[in-house]
Amino acid sequence: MSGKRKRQDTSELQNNVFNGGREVRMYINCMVNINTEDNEDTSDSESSDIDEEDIEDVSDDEYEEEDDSNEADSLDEDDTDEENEQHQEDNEENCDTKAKNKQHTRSDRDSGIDDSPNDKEETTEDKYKLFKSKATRRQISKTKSTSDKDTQECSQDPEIPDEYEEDSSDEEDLRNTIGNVPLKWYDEYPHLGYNLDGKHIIKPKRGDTLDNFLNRIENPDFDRTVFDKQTGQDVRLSDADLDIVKRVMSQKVPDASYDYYAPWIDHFTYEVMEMPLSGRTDSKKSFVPSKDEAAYVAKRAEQIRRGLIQYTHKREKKYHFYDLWSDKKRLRRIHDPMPAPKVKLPGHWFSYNPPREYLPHFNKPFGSLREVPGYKHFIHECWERCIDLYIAPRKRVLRVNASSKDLIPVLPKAQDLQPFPTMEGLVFKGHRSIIRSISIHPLGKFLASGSDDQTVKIWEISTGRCLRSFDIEAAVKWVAWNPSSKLFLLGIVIEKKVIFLNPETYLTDKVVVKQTNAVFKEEPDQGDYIQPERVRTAVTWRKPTADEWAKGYRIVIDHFRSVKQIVWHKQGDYFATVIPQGDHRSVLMHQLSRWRSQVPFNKCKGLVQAVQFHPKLPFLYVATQSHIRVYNLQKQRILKKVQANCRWISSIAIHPGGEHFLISGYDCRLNWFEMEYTKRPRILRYHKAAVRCAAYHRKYPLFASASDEGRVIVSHGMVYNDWLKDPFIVPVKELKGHKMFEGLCVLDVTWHPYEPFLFTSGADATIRLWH
Amino acid sequence: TRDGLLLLLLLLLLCFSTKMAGIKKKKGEAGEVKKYITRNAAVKKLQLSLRDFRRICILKGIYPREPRHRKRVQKGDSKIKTLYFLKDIQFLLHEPIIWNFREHRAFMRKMRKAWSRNDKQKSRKLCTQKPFYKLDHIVRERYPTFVNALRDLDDPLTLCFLFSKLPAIHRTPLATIEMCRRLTIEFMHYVIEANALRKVFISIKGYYYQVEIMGQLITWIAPHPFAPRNDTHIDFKIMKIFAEFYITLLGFVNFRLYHSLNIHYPPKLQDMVKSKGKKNRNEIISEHVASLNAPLLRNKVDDDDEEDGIDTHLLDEDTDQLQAAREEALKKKKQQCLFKGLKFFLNRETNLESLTFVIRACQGQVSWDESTAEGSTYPVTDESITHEIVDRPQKTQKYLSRYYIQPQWVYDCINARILLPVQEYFPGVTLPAHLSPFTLETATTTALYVPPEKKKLEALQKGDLPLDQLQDVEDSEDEDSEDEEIKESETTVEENKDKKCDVELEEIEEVKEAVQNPSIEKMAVHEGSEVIVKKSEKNRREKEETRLSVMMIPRKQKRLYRILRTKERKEAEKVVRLTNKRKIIDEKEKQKKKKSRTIENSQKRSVVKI
Repeated sequence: MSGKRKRQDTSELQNNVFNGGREVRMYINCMVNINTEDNEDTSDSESSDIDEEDIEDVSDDEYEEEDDSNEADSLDEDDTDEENEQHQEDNEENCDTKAKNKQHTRSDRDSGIDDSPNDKEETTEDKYKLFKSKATRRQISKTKSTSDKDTQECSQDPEIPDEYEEDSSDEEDLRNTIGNVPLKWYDEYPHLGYNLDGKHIIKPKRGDTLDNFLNRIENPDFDRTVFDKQTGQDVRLSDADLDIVKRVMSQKVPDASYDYYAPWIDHFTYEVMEMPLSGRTDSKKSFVPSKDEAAYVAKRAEQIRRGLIQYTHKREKKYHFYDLWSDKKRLRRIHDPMPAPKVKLPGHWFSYNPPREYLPHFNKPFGSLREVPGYKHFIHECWERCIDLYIAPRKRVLRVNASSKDLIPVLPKAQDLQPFPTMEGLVFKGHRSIIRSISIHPLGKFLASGSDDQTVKIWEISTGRCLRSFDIEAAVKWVAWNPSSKLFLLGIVIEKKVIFLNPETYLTDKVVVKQTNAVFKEEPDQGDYIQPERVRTAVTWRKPTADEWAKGYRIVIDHFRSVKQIVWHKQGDYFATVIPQGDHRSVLMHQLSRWRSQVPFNKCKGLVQAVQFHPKLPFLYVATQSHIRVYNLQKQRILKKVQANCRWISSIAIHPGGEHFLISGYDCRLNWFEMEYTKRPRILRYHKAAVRCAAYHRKYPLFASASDEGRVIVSHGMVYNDWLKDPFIVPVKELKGHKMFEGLCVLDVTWHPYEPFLFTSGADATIRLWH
Repeated sequence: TRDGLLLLLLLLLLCFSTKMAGIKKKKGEAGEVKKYITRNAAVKKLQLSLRDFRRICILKGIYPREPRHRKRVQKGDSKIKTLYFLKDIQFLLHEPIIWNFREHRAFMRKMRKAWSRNDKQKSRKLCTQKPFYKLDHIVRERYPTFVNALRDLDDPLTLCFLFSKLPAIHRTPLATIEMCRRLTIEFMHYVIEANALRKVFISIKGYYYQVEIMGQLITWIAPHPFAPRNDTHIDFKIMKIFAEFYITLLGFVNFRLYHSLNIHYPPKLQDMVKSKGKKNRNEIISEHVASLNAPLLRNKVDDDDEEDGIDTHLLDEDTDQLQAAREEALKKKKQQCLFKGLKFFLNRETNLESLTFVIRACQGQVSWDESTAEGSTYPVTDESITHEIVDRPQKTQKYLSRYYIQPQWVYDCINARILLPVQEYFPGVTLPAHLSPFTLETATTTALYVPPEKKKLEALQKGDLPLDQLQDVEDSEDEDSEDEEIKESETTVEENKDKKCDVELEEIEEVKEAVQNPSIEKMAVHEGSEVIVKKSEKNRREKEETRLSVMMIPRKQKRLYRILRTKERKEAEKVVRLTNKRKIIDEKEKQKKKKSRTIENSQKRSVVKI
């Protein structure tokens, strides 16, 4: 605290005493005191070079005495140095600042002013106050008993007070020489700022934790000492300080003597004075009645008279009920009104005491009605309903009120459509791998099967015995019996070859076998026939070697690329082979008797999937991926192009009547086409997986289809001569028996030529007969 | 000149070509688009604030419509907008209430001005001139006939019943609440006088009441008798608008209903009420009316005992239907006077309002202690009381002349339309389940789960079970069911065996026949034996047949078939789940009973020994 300010304070204090505003002043004083204490403390160690000692021991009863001494001091002041601030002294004995430090401060100059002899009598009260403030200041160093010396110095020169006022050197400057900077900047140094001589002010010693601890025990004032950050000193708070702190903390006025209930001095009176301040006379306007107002009143009166304004009208009630629907008139309504759907009525679930099974997790129902609490979402639900009523868009929706059974079509009973295979008859076991293809001899006695285990087996149908097994050099892709009754010949497809085999067994008709052998002994005479270039490069007919002949081979036809299928014409002389990668040569026609081949098509029309001969007419059905083309072989032109309604055709089967054909596809569908009207096939969605193949029975109105899901479905497919009548198709039996193997199940389906028997070959290396 | 001619030609050609092409059709100018209008556009068109628009929509009953092709209607915008019919909005344009809204806005402006100037005199004066609107014409317009209004009475009743229970605070003003209370009580009085109550259901949400008025079934919910929990998320402004309209509607409906029965509207009591204490006479009357326990003043009550009231001319041909309708009418009549001659006394812990309403609607007599509420007619000491309704485990039963029963009995009786045996409803007894009368399932329909309680109830209604020997029958039933179960399990085992042996057996039979055949060589006609097809085989065949015929369902119906199928399957699963659960619960209870019995027995024995 600067001395200057202090001086002001005291002078103000003086003034206030006279002005009666002393409470406020007191408060300020107290605040000042706290500040000064801090500063004084800092200066304690720093200003050790200051030789004046200013120790006072003051008690309340000694105040007058002290005043005198102050006066005396003021006289001595001249010969001491120029410093006009307060001087403190550091008791040398007390190195430990906290407990034993006795500081005595006083503002000598102030007291000098105060105690000017002229004012002395009048200002006793004031002095008393002043003294009090001093006393508080002094209580910083309160150990009264030890104070002996009472040397006070007065740095006051009553004649030239202005000099000090202008002096810039402050008390604060001395105490806090580092300015307003954080103390931690001096952490690394032993000193703390500089004194007037430019020398270090050494930091006061601070004890370690042990000292701290000892101090705590020894020092009775430990709990009221405070560390001053700015000076690095410990400050002991006096009782008055503590009191102030307490009062401030409890949000009271710091001064204890402040009177809250002092009488209020009203500076301005509310009473109206009787005498006017000015002597002006009133204007005429103020006492002559207004014409404007008169006109207004007249107007209103007129309006009221006419009934234009009604000040007293009866108010209608908002709700007044009467028979609203008494008349028959119809008002306009909103366009196309849709009544809101009613709220769903509750089931047993919502009962307060439902049957036990409706309660979740065996909860107990409410034992009686009185235990049922209010439903907490009631308002919310009501509100939601309101919201729904006005904001939810409304729409008419058709709701089906039917059971699923009503949708199932009523089919004729399967029993009425017999015969058809109903159960598994025989299982032909013997192959060791997937059986790709099976074929039945046209006389219905033998069954040939070709498998991935590189064998072709001949089975007797009636017993299920394997009659012969031929080892072929590669996996067999296709087998097909020659339909001619004069030949006993089996066509086999492996890789790029087509082999004709005479699978003679001890059960076969020996005459036929001999005849067959005889036919193929000699190569037919080609005459002057020259094979065209593109045929020669595609196909080569050759006689088998001696070993192969012994094995049963009769003819071997090498193709330029791998062959997929071989299809016989019904007479048994012609056959077609399918080479899917053969481009324009993907379908080849061959003549067995003359060892000749032909390439019927000049252009590639897509990836050929399957080929089939018409059972009666010289037509060839060629199925590419999504189209079927029917060619007239005699006239050598295309007869029909059919969109298959199928993404990828797997096989084609032609009805023995020739008017219908069946397309099976890898997209799970079967399509039944009529030759006359191919635009809209009958789609049969029997299967849920790719349909591998389908086949018609030659005699009975039956057809079967096999899919990868493992089901073979036998259907009744009656065709009528009247072509206006649609074919009558009823699925009659679902056959299951084959096991899945590597995602494949049933691979080939064939009907017995004249019995209602069905043969299926599967990926589980078995052939099954269903009868 | 040549060039000029050429140019002319060219121009002509151009003109032609444009004419030939015709005027291009613009998007969004014809068709479905013109039918709809978005909300924002509607607000703009009506020149209303959004709040007023909402209000008028609620009052006039105008709601958004779902277009068939939203994207087309919204001119290519696929996000969801609120769409109204343009015709509806045009209809709103002529609504006189819009002017009231504008008046109100002007009034509010004046009012605000007065407030802000602290001009109390003016604001008081303004308050007396506050504009308001009447909704009579809107009610008439929305419900062209009285039956239309009745048909749409569910929501108004529910909301009014809720409002009548709400506390009177700022957002729910006292006037509205009192009006709701008054109207609901009037409506209940009508139901009592007309004996129109059909079904009652105590759910966790509240009390469902279903009444039949002029052939219309009206269902509403009254909350449980507690102050409803306040929900701060709710915008009460909307509810208030709805309440405003519903009050008007319900008032007119009540008026009409009362007049149809020749009752005074607003209701007056038949008997003069003795005014005692300092209470206002009107207050007492209103309290008596609110107690629902006093007959209303009626003009010239002529007992019109009409015949069934069935439109026989429509059902003439169908005798079965006619018969059924007659029976139904008879049952209804029985229900209407179900409690006739019975005197009830309600203890104070019961729900007085609901019970009084329900009992009096079935022509019973009700009273309660004088101290509980106004309107009691006879004291507890009356010896002619037949039933005292108690809702706490009461040990002392003072009067032997009456049954002490729990309130559920009353509700169950009304739903069953007969007086149920009282034994199961004595105080302190675990009550039988309270079933919902709104479910459609009956014991005959197998598709839905029917709780055993319902089956029992149906038997009671038919008169198959004598009312007195209920418990005995139950026990015997249980035993029977056990026996059946055992039998069933046996049969299933057999069936399983059958399945396995089926194929083998047939084969063996064939072989046998083959063996036997040579012995029967004589040509003769023998008596044929019936081919017995085993059940499992038959089932299997049927299943396969259905599977095959399902394949033949046309694709258009297949999706529907699948949906229906899944629905049915879920339903079936639910049934299985519930039956299983019930079985487990029953078994547990049985075991408990057994244990308690054994303990009792042992105790008895020990007593004997001692």
